[in-house]
Amino acid sequence: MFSLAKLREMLTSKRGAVLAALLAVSAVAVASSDAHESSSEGRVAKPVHAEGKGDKCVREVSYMRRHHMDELKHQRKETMRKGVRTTEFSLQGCVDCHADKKTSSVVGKEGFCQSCHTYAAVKLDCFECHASKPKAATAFNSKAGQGVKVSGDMGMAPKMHIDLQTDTVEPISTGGN
Amino acid sequence: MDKTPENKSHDSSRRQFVGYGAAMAGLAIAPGVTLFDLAHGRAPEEAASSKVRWGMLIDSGKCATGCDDCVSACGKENGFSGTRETDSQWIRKVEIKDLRSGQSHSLPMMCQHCEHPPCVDVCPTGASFKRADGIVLVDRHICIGCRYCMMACPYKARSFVHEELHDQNPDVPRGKGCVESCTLCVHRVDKGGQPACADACSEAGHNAILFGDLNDPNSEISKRVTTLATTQVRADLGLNVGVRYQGL
Repeated sequence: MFSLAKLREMLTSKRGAVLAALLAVSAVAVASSDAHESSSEGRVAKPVHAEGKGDKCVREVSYMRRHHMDELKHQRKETMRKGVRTTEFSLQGCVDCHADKKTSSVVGKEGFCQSCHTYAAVKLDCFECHASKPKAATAFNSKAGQGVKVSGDMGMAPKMHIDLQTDTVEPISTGGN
Repeated sequence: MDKTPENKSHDSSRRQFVGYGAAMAGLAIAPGVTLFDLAHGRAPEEAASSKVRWGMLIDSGKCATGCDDCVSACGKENGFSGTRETDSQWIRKVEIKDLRSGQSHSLPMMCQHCEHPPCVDVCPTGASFKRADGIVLVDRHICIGCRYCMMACPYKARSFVHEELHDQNPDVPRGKGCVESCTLCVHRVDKGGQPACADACSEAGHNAILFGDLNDPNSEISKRVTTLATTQVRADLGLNVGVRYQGL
């Protein structure tokens, strides 16, 4: 009886040790797999929050994270319906400040808007219509100067055709980067 | 007034309009010229006002046959070339000819920015709307692309965007699946400018397109509308359009 009880005790303590050892090993394994997966292609990349152009955003960052969509929607109604053109919550203002330095765009893999929307799995359709680049980075930037020159010429139509062809080619080349 | 025969109603409304304009012109000599500046230099936070009614007067006598500077300028400003088959057309040149006399006219045709726009009447979602200052627009956030407005418009002024667009003008958001038309370059007008077509026409030295406030008796456009014979295209429809033609 005694020897049996002792044996059982020994067994359980051994089992405990084995269990503890197993747990330790698996914890290490999980930690290492975490470290491995965060850098792999399989997981959704963490959003990129590059520094904006200005000193600070128009509101606190915590407020903007939660409410930027409401403010944008409100502004959209004011501008579209009433013609109010304040810049504080205009989408153009966001783009001007947050455009990526390399691609000068808020969309794309590392774009300020898209990287976060991809991470949060929220559809981003603003930029199907709205320009994702600041005006300074688009073909419409030097438009005023070009317009004067081109309209002074008589052969306007073919020139314009070429201009606009380059316009359509440009996003494909820059978008790929 | 709507119940009276078409011609009579048109005549009387025109007479009334001319009389009203003349009366206003008389009144406005006292307050001075600053009225126009106030109306045009609107602060960004100020909403468009119904005191203003933007309009255009197109002098077909000055509009040169074969010149399409206004059309190209529109495309350049708003981001379409007119070279692709499905490209939008916000403004087009029309040549009209009287077969008996052989007399011909050239003129640009675009959204006429009606006071009573049929496109707004038929829009099932409320996307098509008229702003307080008379500019008829499409709210693309709400447009479902049903194209009823295209059928309703007597001027064939609206286009549907069939293909995905890239690299839009930041001031002119445009995209696939929506109906669109001349916005009277609302983004320029809000900043105190005038439409790209009017700019291009004066740059080319034709000065056939005059843009201004039809409600302001001191504006050049009002003065010309009150003193010269101007025409509304399809005036019989009683839409009271914002784009008038001279010399037709």
